[in-house]
Order: sequence, then C-alpha cells, then structure tokens
Amino acid sequence: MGGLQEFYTVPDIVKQWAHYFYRHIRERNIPEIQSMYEISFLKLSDRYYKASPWPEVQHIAEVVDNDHVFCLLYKEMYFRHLYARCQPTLRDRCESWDNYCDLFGLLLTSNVNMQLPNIWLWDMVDEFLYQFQSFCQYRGKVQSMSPEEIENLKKCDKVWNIVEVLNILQALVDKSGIVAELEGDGGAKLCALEGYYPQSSNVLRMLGYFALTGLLRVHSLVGDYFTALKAIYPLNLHERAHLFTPRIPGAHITLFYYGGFAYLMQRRYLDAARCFNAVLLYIYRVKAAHRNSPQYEQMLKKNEQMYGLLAVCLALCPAGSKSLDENVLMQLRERQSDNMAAMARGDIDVYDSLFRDACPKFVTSTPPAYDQATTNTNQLAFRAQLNSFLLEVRSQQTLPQLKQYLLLYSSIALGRLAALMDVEEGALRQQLLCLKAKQRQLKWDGGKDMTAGTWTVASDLEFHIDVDAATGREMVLVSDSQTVATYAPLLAHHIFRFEEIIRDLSLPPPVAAAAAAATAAAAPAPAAARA
Amino acid sequence: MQAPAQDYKCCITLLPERLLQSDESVYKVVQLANALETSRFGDFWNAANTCRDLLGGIPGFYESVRGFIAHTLVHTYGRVTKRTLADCLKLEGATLEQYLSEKCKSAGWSIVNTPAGEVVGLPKNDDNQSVVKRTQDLIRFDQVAPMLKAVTVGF
Repeated sequence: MGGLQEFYTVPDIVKQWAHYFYRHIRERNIPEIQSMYEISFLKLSDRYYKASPWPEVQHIAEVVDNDHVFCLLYKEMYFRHLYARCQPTLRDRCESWDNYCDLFGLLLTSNVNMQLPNIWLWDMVDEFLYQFQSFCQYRGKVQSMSPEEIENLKKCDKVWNIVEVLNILQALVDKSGIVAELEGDGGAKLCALEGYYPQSSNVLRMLGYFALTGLLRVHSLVGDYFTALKAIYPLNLHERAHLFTPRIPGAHITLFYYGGFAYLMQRRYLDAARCFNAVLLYIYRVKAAHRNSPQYEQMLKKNEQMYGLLAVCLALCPAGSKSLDENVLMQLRERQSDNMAAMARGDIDVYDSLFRDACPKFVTSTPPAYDQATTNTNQLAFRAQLNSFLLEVRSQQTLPQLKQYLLLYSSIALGRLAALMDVEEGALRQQLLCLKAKQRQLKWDGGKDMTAGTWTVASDLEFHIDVDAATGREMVLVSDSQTVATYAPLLAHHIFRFEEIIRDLSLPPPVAAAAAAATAAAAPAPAAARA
Repeated sequence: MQAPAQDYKCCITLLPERLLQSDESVYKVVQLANALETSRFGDFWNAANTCRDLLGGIPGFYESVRGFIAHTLVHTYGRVTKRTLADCLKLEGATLEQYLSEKCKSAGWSIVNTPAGEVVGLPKNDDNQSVVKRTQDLIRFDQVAPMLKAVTVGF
C-alpha cells in the first residue's frame, strides 16, 4: 500500500457510549439521554479528548446503524466540543454551518418523533448563535488574515449570513406554532409538562420557544433594539408567572440580559432596572445549586456584567432604585459603590469602562470590505453602539450638579440661580428644560407587548418654572415631597423575623433528642430500680 | 417627527459609523436631533438654518418640531415670558401673535399682563404646578397575615 494510512482507532468505551446513546434516543428515555449528554460526554471528553476533537462521524457510524438523524446530532456535539477546546478553522466553521442547516432543515420539514432533553435543545440554539458571533468576530479581523484566507472567505458569503440565521430562527418559531400556544394559555401547560407532551415530540416546540430568545439576541447584537423586544412576543419579561426558562439557567439569564440591555439602549431605564432586578434575584437564589455545573463561571460573569449595567441605569435614572429588591441593592452597593459615586460626579470614563465590560459582542450586519484590509469591523460595530450610549451620557453630564442646587431651595429666582451656578440665564433655562425632558421616560405598564408603555416622570425631584405675576421675575419652584412616616411595614418585618427565630429555637435538635430520650429512659430505670 | 417617541433612537443605533461622518445630510440630521434632545433650541434653529433646503423637503417638519418644543415648554413652565417663547420657537412679531392666538383657542394657553411685559400662561398639568406630594407606604395584607396568626393564638 502506498502512502501513510492512518489507523484511527476509536476507544471501545467511546463506541459503547455512542451505541447506548443512540439506543436511548430511539427509546425516548429522557433521563438516560440527559445523563449521558451532560455527564458521560464530559467525562469522556476530559479523559480522551481534552484538547482534540472527538472522532469524526464516519468512525462511529457503523455502531449506530448509520442513522442519519443521530449522525447530525452527533456532529452538532462534535463541533461544539471543537469550538470549546480547539481553534476552529474556516473549513470547520463552514462544515458546522452546513450541519446546522441540515439539522434544522430536517427538524423543520420532517416529522421527527423523538424526545430530547430540553437542555440539549437550548444548548443547540445557544451554540448556534455563539458560533454565529464567533464567525463574525473571525471575519472582522481582516487585517490579520492572509490573502488566501480572504479569498476563501469571499467565496463563502452565504455561510453564517445574518439573514440566513434570522430566517432559520424565524422558521423555527413559525413552524413550531409556539406563538399561538403561548398566546392561548400564557405557557401554563408548557410549564406544567416541561414541554414533554406525551405522544408527541418536544423537539420542535422547545426549539421554537428557545428560538424566540435567539431572535432577541441576534437583533440586539446588530443594534436593532426595538425589533428585539418585539420579537419575543408573546413572552413577557414583566409577567413571569408561566415562564419556562427558569428551569434552564442559561436560557433565563440570556433572555433577561438581552432584554434589559435592549431597554437600556432605548433609554427606558426604569424597565431595564426591573429586568435586571428580576434576574439578579434569580441568580442569587440558584447560584449555590449550580456550583458544579460547567456553566457556573458563565453565570458568574453575566452576574458581574449585569451589576455593572444596573449601576449605569441607576446613575442615569436615580428613581429606579425604588423598584429594586433589598438583596440586589445590597450586592450592588458592595460591588459598584465607587463606580456609582464617580458616575454621580459626571465621570464619563467610568460609564465608558462599565459599558465596555458589560455589553454583548456586537456584530456588523454586513461582511467587511475585504479590500480595505486595515479595519477591524468588530470594533466598528462596538464603537457605534458605544458612541450612541456616550452621547446620551454626555447630554446628562451637567444635570447632577443642577439637581444638587435645586435640592437646596424651595424657590429661587432664575437670575439668582444662574449667578450661583456661574452660568448664563439662557444656558440655565436650557439646562432646566433638559432636566425636565430627561425625567420623562416610557414605562411598561401592562399588556403583552414589551415595547408599549406610557410616559411617566421618573425622578425624585419635581420642579417647575413660573413667572411671578406681580414682578415679572422668573422663579424656579421646587415641589416638596413629604413622606408620612409609617412604621407598620418595619414592625411587620421584624415580627416575622422574630417568629422565625423563635420557631427555630424551639425545635428540638434531632440527634440530641434521641440521646436525651435514651438518657431520660435510662435515668428513670435506675431511679425506679433504686426506688 | 416622532419625538419624544423612540423612532429616532431605534434607527440611530443601526447606522454604521462611517455613514454618519461621510454623508452630509445624515450628519446634519444627527446634529439637529442632538440639539433637540438636550433642549438646546437656540443651537437647533441655527443648525436648521444651514440646511433649510433639506428640511423644506420634509412636509410638516417645522410644525411638528414646534409642537415638540411647545410640549417641552408646557411641562416645564407654568408661565413663560414672551421673550423666551419667541426664542425657543423662533417666531417673531406677527407670526408669533398668530401662533399664540391659535394655541389660546385650541390648547388652553392664556396671555397675562404683568408690569414687565406680556406673559403667556400655559395650561396646568401635573408637571408645572406645585404639588405637595404625600407619599405614604402602605402595608400589604400578606405582610400582616402571619402576624395575625401569631398574635391571635392565645384566644
């Protein structure tokens, strides 16, 4: 035989894993599939394939009767492992794209009758979008690519094209009929059965559900925040009674992160603060339970990012802190107190750095101009969003100082205030108008559409300008807001806590109770014997 | 124009940066929008003068801009001097009188005479009046319920 023939041996245990995995999928044995998917796959990866890809699909095909669907599913996991552990080449990226097209095409057109664990379906959608983002990042680094790479890239412009990605997601949503189902009962049945409807496959339905989150994410990455929020209709982040995503932390966090971010970029700080509040509470509660899962670090990272974004929201709209939960406020103060103080002083660099750390990796919707090999288009996309954010910040830069002055007075003549602040009257008028305008925000107040809302005033300082009828001088009048002190909530809270403490104290400790019972039984016995 | 609605903000995040700098008309629009957002109406009218041909092509532009400015003024001022009004709206003399009389009839503005000159009274709403707000924390039933059980256990 001429040439080198590589004998590729697949370890037996891997072949066994593939065989059993295939059988479990055929038998719709969900708990087994989930355990093999989550636990065994990771163990085998760590043992044999720590830094290299799994065997190619043809090597295990004979173990699984060359089943077409299983091969597609296996390839999906193969590419996911490859992206995580090794550096994918352009060829790998194209092949992965083809695989996803085939897989989703198959699931959309033919009527599959299998049941897969929901976490796998979520991971599929999540990985699909992660590879899309990764490809855009790769494509954007035009300046560091060799000419033949650029040539190859030009040829495959259909691969990971944003329009195709959006089409696939939209097709998943439409074909699964998830919108009609969620509209009907608000998702109650889905929650109760966890999507595993008997007698039918959960694959398409859950893929549709997760594709809604996917659409939100893709639209936010491009900068189209309005469409992003419209896309997750009928899911509603403010009415969370029947939301299924809390079962899968990754899905829940992604949904709220992008939702809150979209609100933030639309200057709806009150709504953004509410979204972040909800998800930060969730992470706080479930953090301990997921300490061993592979996504723990990802969760913590998103946690940090969201605290940063929440700090920005509160700096731009201090009235938002009223709707936050105690735990979240406490954590925020621990992590971000210096940043918040700096932002209150009007320090733009802090806004800049917080935004940089916390924003998603934006992508440009068009491929870069390969001929101008000096630009990094990822930077362009990011800078466009950063600049529009900083513009908004700059327009509010002088306002905190004005607010400080207004807090000191209940009424002051315009001229006098201008002299105190060392600005001209005209500039002061303009700043007062600006302050008033910035306090009005859209706030969601009911209904399924997350983009709807009414204009409310979100501020802790109410003022207005009036012209004194007698003298004709302009006065700035600051409204007083008196809080009637009530002690009832405080007392109720403390009563509740004390009741809890008393209940805990009066519970007999279990082991000591048995020992005490034994000694109590033993003590009367000798006492009776003695007596 | 839809300010203070969100349409402008939705579109601006979609435009690539180089378009903002290369295309003259887009750049002008961005400048105008920034001036309006930060209530720098003087700057707005100066910038608008430089691209009058661009804006003239948009039907109803000046009316809706004036509507937005008037809306902002109504929410900030209880009564405003005519001088300020004229500067913000960029109307003078006869056109200003005409605008005011229209507004008085349709939107409830009024003209008050003071020793310092004429003052325009704007319609009263929540934002331009002194309202002493009394906020009172209410207590919810579910906070009280566990207490009732504990307190009434002896009876």
